[in-house]
Amino acid sequence: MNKKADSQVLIVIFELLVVALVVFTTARVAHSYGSSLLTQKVNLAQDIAMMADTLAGVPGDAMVQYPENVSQFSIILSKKSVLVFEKDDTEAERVSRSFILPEGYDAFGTLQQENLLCLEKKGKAIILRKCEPERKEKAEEESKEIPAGPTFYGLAIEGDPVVFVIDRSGSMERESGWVFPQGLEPPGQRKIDVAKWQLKTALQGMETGKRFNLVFFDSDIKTFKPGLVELNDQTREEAFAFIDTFEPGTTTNTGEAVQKALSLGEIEALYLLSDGRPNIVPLALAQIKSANAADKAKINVIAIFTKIPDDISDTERETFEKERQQGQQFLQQIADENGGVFVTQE
Amino acid sequence: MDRKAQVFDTAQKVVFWTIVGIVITGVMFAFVLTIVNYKGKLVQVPSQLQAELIALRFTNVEDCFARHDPQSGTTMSGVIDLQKFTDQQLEKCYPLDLQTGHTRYNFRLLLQEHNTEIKTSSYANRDIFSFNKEVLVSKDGRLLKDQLIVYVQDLKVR
Repeated sequence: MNKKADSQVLIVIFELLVVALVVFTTARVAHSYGSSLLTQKVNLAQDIAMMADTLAGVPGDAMVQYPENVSQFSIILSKKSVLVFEKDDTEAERVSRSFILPEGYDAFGTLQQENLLCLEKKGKAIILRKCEPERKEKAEEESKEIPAGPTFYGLAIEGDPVVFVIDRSGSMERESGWVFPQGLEPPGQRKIDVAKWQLKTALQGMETGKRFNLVFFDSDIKTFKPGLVELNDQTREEAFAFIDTFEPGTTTNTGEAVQKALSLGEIEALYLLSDGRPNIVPLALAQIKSANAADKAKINVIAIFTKIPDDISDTERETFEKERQQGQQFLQQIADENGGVFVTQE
Repeated sequence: MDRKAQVFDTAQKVVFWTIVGIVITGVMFAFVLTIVNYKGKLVQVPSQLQAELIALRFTNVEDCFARHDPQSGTTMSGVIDLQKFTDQQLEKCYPLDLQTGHTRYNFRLLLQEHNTEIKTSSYANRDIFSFNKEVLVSKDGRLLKDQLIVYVQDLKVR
């Protein structure tokens, strides 16, 4: 009897295994088929061929920017056709589309996993190339409108007294993507180096007699002086020395740092520089809100996000973008709730 | 149940689940194929649009039929130089390969008022649609209004 029951159990297990195997195989096949980039490759090749046809019919020089991100593909443009492929594609998996240019015209260019694609017509040549990021153009435009007085990341420093609250969490070790107007070259690539340089430049430009203080924070919060001090040659030098002592540290305790800054006295304007959100966002927002309820200091926020490296996987890119989105939401909310200006760069 | 019946029962169930597995796989394939086909149809570019984009060059570019003023160095978009409106110029403007030319869009261009017609080398009078462009025709130093009718042949063998 027991033998029979054992055999029945074995049969049921076998049946379940067969079902699981079928479902797993089907799901795998469906997934690989559904996530295939073939359609995108065909569309991209077709679009580029049409863009080339269109540019050939445009008088004078012109440029077209493709509206989609093409970082998953490599593209080769030649006189008669365009070839689109992924990194590990076999010959058969590559997609090609042809076009016809008038005699004497030429088309060329290659693009390897770049985000933005531009096709430019110069005379009788159609050139495929990487688009210059918009933020550079934006920064150049902004450079034409530089405020006359001292600035901090392009933001005019207004108010007396002012307090600068600077994030020195571990992520400030990463490369800064902030683009400054022509002629302003940061002394280093790391976000912390750029922040220290901007802070010193701001203090250098601020008029003597203005009251100020500096707060650097990671998990720990350090203030330059216990209260507000007047800016003069001596305090400026001391402040520079204080700034030089900081290197990227640990976590981001924004709430307590702003709370501490607001407790230094009746502040008119606070400049918060950060590159993300703290671990507990609601707590930080509540801390800032309660600390600023009475004095109503204007809290301006400069968000300096990490430059997304070109050579990372899609998953890593998604993580970067998600972090950025959450950080931006948090920092924007601080500025919005405290009458300040929110500044960032795309 | 004797041993023979038990073996038979097990085999029957295995056959049943194998068939179910195959049916599920088939259904999944059909589903994915339907989605892919639908997606393909959604992103398909209409022939009319493609032909119109190619035809832009006929009236806009000096290497096709647009009038070019050598003195000022300017090209007059929308003005056709009647002297250039020839099969040879069309061949330069839209050079088709002799072997594969019939697989591409082919054009017959008719200037209605001037009753002048030119064709691409692989045009076989099998146009499937046409569209009009209002143009000016430059003839003997004068500009005359005309209609350029573009007949398009698309054998859809690309």
